[in-house]
Amino acid sequence: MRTSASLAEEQTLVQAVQEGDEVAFGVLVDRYLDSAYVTALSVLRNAHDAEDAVQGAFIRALERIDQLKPGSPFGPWFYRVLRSTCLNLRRREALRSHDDIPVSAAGGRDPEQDLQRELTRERVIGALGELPEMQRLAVTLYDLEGYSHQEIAEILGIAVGTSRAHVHHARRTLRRLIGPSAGPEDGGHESME
Amino acid sequence: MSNDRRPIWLRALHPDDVTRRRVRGAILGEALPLLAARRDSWLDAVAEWATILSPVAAAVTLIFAGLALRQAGSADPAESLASAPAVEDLVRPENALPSAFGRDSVPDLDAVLTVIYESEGP
Repeated sequence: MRTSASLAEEQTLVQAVQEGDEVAFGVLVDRYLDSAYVTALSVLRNAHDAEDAVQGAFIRALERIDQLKPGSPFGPWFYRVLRSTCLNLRRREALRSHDDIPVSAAGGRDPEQDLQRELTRERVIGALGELPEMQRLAVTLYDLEGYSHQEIAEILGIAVGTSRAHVHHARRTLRRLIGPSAGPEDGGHESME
Repeated sequence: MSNDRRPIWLRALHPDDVTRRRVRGAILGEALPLLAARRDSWLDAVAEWATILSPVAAAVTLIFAGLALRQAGSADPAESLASAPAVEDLVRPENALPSAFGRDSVPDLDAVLTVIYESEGP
């Protein structure tokens, strides 16, 4: 969950990046890389495309960072850039098909664990593929980044109630497809806000 | 949201360390020239502003200097007389102030002027 202190710190980072500070940009990348990757993977369902999308989104965000209004949080704006990058990439990729590169192609220390992880991941990606795109994005942003429905509504350009409905339906579908690990259908971090 | 509160399905989608390093390296590799360009443009902007503002600063300095000189030239003579050292300079030794205007007391301007006029005579 984001606090006002972390938002203020992030605004300082954004200002530093606008002036060309490499370290500040590295901090923003470290902060958002994992969640951006998960979001991109849930949209594109292909590890190679997800990597391209994340890289493209960060570069696009850097090129356009002056468009971020002073005082505005970086996160929601970055996810809008990421989403648009994913959609552009998917449109482009639709024109040419290619074989999926295994997500854990680089390999880990334990091949059996890697295989298990790979199977779980494929199952999850398959389940996400069953969701309409808006549900997929809403549940990813809600469960991954801890965004409120208000923020998700702003990122996706939908109503707050629609965001609630998307998360609810997405979780129900995921529970059906991958079991209880999808989390509860209702409730979540927002109840603590 | 802390990692352990995230649903398990999300944890399965996270990039492994190798992927994370690879993506991070690719991003920073592509970003460095853009950041360098930003730094240069920022410095250029500062230099440009400095170039634009230096004649203005010089003009403002000249205006203030002129005003200060003008003010110094048109100083009120009464104010000059009012200062004790100036009054003392005006009085010649033979026309020294009467003892009533001792150094310890603050001289009254009217009294001093009266003494000066009387000593010079008609």
